[in-house]
Amino acid sequence: MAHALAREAQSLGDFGEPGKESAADMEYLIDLAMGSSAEMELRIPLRIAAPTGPSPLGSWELIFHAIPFYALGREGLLQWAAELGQRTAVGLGSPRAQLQAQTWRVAAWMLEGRSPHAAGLPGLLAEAQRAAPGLRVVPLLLRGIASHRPEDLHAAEQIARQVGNVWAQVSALTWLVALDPQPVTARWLHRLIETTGWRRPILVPATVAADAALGLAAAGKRGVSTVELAAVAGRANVTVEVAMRHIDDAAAPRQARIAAVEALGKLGTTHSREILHRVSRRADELGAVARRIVTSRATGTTLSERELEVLNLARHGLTNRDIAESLSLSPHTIARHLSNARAKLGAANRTEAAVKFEEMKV
Amino acid sequence: MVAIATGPHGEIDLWAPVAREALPKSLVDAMEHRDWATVRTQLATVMDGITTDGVYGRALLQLALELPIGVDPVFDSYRAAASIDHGDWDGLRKCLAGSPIDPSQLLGMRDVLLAPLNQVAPKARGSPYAMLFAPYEYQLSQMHGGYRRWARAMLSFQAIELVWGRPDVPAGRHIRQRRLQDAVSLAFAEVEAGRLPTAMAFALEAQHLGGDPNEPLRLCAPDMEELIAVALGDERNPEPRLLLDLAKPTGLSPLGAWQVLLHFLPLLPLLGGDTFLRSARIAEQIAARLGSARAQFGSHAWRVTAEYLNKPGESPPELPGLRAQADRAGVGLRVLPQLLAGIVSKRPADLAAAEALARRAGNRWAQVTALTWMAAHNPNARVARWLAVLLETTGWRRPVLVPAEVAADAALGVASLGVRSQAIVELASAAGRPNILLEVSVRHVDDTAAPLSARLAAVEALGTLGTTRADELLARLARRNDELGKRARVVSQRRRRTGLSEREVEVLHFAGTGLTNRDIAARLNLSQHTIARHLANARAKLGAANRTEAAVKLEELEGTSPRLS
Repeated sequence: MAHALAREAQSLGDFGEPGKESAADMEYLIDLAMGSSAEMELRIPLRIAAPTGPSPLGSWELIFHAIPFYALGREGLLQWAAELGQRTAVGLGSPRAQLQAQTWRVAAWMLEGRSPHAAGLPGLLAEAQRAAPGLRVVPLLLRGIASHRPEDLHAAEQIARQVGNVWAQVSALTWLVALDPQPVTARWLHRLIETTGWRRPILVPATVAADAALGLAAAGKRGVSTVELAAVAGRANVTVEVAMRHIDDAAAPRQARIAAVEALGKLGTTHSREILHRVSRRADELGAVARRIVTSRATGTTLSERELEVLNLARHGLTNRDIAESLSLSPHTIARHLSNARAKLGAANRTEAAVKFEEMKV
Repeated sequence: MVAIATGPHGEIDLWAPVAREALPKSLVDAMEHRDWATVRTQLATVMDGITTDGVYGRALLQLALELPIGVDPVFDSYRAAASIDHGDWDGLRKCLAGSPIDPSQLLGMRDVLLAPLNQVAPKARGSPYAMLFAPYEYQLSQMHGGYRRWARAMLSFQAIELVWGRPDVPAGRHIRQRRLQDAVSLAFAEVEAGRLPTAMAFALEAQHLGGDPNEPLRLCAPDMEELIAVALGDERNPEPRLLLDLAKPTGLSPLGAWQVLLHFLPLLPLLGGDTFLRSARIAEQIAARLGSARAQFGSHAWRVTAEYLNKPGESPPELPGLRAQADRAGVGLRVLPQLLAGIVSKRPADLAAAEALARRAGNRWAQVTALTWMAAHNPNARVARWLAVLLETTGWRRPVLVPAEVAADAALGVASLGVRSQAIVELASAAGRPNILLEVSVRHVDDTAAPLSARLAAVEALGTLGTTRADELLARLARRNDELGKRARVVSQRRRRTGLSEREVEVLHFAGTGLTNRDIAARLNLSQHTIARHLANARAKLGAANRTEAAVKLEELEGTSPRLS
């Protein structure tokens, strides 16, 4: 486990290396994986297309270090990367690179909704049989996703564990828990997402991730990660269900219960508001959190916690770069939070937004 | 002539000339020799009186288009009716101008097709004409509830002076044909505005009506049966023949094809693949050829919807235009654009507006759909209660235009608001998401205030799940000493024994007594395809090579002889 984590951390570190621009892209994509919902145009595609771009081998590396994450980006991104990768791989003449590119091509087609057969999964599996374990992970995962059979997903999880591929392990486990939450798989998934921070597992549709969160909650796994997994999947009723279980369970970790109340606050459905009001009458810490959310609603702003935080800093005259540093976020994210806050407050610029916010507080 | 669409078996062109070999040779010859007296006597033997799709279907209609105007009033009325069927408005005008036929005989369909978008149902009721043309009134107003009432009234309607009194109509044929038409209309009416189980009964009945097994309407009935079964929550994989039959020269006339497609469209999203989109495109093309603004608008809305389903996530570029047009349309025509807007924006206000419109128009399926989306995204007590009531009365378990995960969310939302109902358990069960079904079932089982039927359904649902946790729960329930414990014991025993579903066991028992698929289908009121599928599934689960081996294996497992009945 520790070994796998170390490798994951190392590979996360590597992403910054190939270039400054791809580093910004990676930061965004990793943010997405950790559950952020910001939107951004990636720059790697532009960079590679430019004549001053990297050499074929360089672009191959640029793409394939990050390709799992492309599955999280906007539609068509993975397709684009896989196609480009395949062309580069053919040019490079490396069978390993070609198999990898083919794997992601199949994945992209399956994400687009083609049947596994039409996407070429059987052929891929036949080729992957002769490949090293590391290259087999994704094909096996795809097989499990296509068949929905627990045995296939178990096999994928096992091989991912063998080679230390944590994201594939998280994905396989998420599928398993969504389809048939057994105590062992639930425990493993819970531990993995608590430690690795994955909130949007790769090749897992949001609906499946939400099912998995529900499965975790029903299996008694409490934690910030379970709440966030549900919240990021964005299905209101599942989030309510998972959050309720955390709030009602006095034995759950304090952090997780607070996260549950905050998740309810972000939902904005009638049912979640009713529950919040009920919670806000409690005398304990949860009650306090709920009251804060309810009152900030009542003052008319529906700013998120992050937007409040950023606006609070901007009020003191900090630049986006400064704010980004103090919150350990990227300047892009800050700019987005600010523009969202501006839109919600109906302000023309950040100064007006800060003033309006000040007025509302009074 | 240009083909309007490409079907699974080549191009579909409903206006293309078809061969006349099926028609009596003497009739064709008489037409060629312009021997109108013979044509007249020959026609009386083959025409139904109402030009509709019969045995000779399109050949006869196309022949009627060539009848001379002004020679014989009967010719004129045939030709006029055939003109309407082909959207040939100039031809219709010539017929009306050149002959003494009463324009009121042709009122219904022409008025429907050429009526402006905002026209709703005419007020006059009760006259025999209103009764005969009332089905068209449905399309005139898109009043789904009204359509259902009409269809019920039709059953007791005696159209003697209108049709049976006419010397040129062979009465026996007409009655058979009429009963088929009524059964199909009633089935559609129940899908649109009533109860699915009733619709199913009519669809099954229609398969034995009409005399000619190749009658296009009768060929639709098995498709309808399969699709309704899916809507009711059955696990089936229907392969509708509708589009295949459209391409056949003996299939439906242009107008008939459009009407049948329009009725089928609410059921077609239940199919995977591109059948829905293809059908919507064909309906739109036919409507364009018919030159009717109303028909075009209705089919256009379906086509935009089908394209959105193919690419969810992107707001359809044609939606704003569609809604602008809908602003000027009658209430029934507004339902689908508003519903689509709600599904695209997912805003509760839009969905609530769609629900209100659907309720006003009496359009049940759209109401169920809107409420399901609302319950999935922002459930409140009222929505939850309404949805449960509607699901229970209408029988929908796979609402139209609702992806399975959204239906599952809706079931979860309704259950967590404290509404308990068998329908909600079944909604979750049809959506096929194990964790959500488990959650919903547990809530029903644990709630002593829930109706017993709902709690028993929850126990059954746990039995179908097959996940580790569901089996644990079942084992725990089986130790209880009440009704639920008893059911849990039965369910878990059945699971342990065979893993077969109730239906599969039933079919296998019948097969064990030597019945053929056809016999079993008749006994269980299912189609033969379904029986074959159940048997194939049972064979696979038991690992048997054929039905005999499967029946024997089941017998061994049960330790009893097959149940005789």
